[in-house]
Amino acid sequence: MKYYCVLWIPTVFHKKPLRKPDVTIIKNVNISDIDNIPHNISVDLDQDENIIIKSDSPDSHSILLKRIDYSNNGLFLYEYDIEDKKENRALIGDDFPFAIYHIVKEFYHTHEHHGEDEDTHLAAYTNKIRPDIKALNNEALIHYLRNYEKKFVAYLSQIQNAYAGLLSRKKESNKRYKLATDSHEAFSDFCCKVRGEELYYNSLNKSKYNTLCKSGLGNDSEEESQLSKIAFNIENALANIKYIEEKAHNEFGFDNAKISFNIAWLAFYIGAGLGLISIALGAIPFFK
Amino acid sequence: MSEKNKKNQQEALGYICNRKSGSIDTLINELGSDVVREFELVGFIKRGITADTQATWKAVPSANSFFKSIYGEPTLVQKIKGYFCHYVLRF
Repeated sequence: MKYYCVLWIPTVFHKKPLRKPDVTIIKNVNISDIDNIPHNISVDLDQDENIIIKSDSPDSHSILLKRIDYSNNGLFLYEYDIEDKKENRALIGDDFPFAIYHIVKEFYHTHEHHGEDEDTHLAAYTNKIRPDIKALNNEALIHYLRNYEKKFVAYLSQIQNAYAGLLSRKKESNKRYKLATDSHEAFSDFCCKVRGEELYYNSLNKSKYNTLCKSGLGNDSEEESQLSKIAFNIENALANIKYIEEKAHNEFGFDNAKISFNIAWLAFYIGAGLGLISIALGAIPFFK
Repeated sequence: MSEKNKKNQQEALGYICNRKSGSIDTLINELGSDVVREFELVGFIKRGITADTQATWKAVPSANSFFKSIYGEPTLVQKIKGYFCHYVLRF
């Protein structure tokens, strides 16, 4: 049976994502997370940018993802054929496996705005009918925008919880000591990760193919209304995250100017103390 | 949080940091599908698949450090740093 999948290769610019020149085109990866049950596969990117996924099992079956189109906002359209055999479904089942999507992204994508283990975790778009990735408001594009809505709302929920966690930690300390700097740093890093994701999201949101997923558009149809809601939810989740980030900075952050000033005073007291001690020690012979 | 989410967010994050990896079905059973999806979306866990099509999960290292920094008990060194900031540097 023929299937289509659209994999989004996160990009910050509107151009075709380029293959990393220094990357080997075959990747051997264990995509099982259970230590004693490995599932080794190899993923090969050929000259035409087709992808061949091979299982390392004794029967060594494989699936070819034939690249048939791409758009400048990073959407790649692939066609593949899977028979309803168990071996094939171990590679690609009803959902396109995240592990394989991640490997494909690695062929193109460099981790500029996040760590290597913090890659975008989005579900791939699959369909039995060929989607047109260059159509206005095409379903693959909307699929990824919907994913981003869920993603930013999830981030907001985690950030609200973490902020509450920091507050209760501060309360427990009865203000006897300043909350450890690395707690606030971890919180800031997490918020910063959202900023990085926002850059990638913009390449989808502001692409010329997206005309309906914008907040404040009219509600002429149910679809328009739904898409407008997605854009509004994303905007407000991002604004809310920024607000909490600023509140946390005011509550737990360190004012560098104040730190420098206080350290300078501390250094002055220590210097003055040492000076007095040395004068006292120097005066001892006169009293002998 | 839906009633399926048996643990609160903090406990749930602690659970994945302690367990580190396993089968998705077990994780959903333990934490609820909403929490599992949320952890996936924010990148605390990543999904894999075994040869017999069993979906698996693994906690990413940054989830563990995030959990320890935000929800974990402050270490002695952190407390000393905190006292130093509060009483000596006076901020």
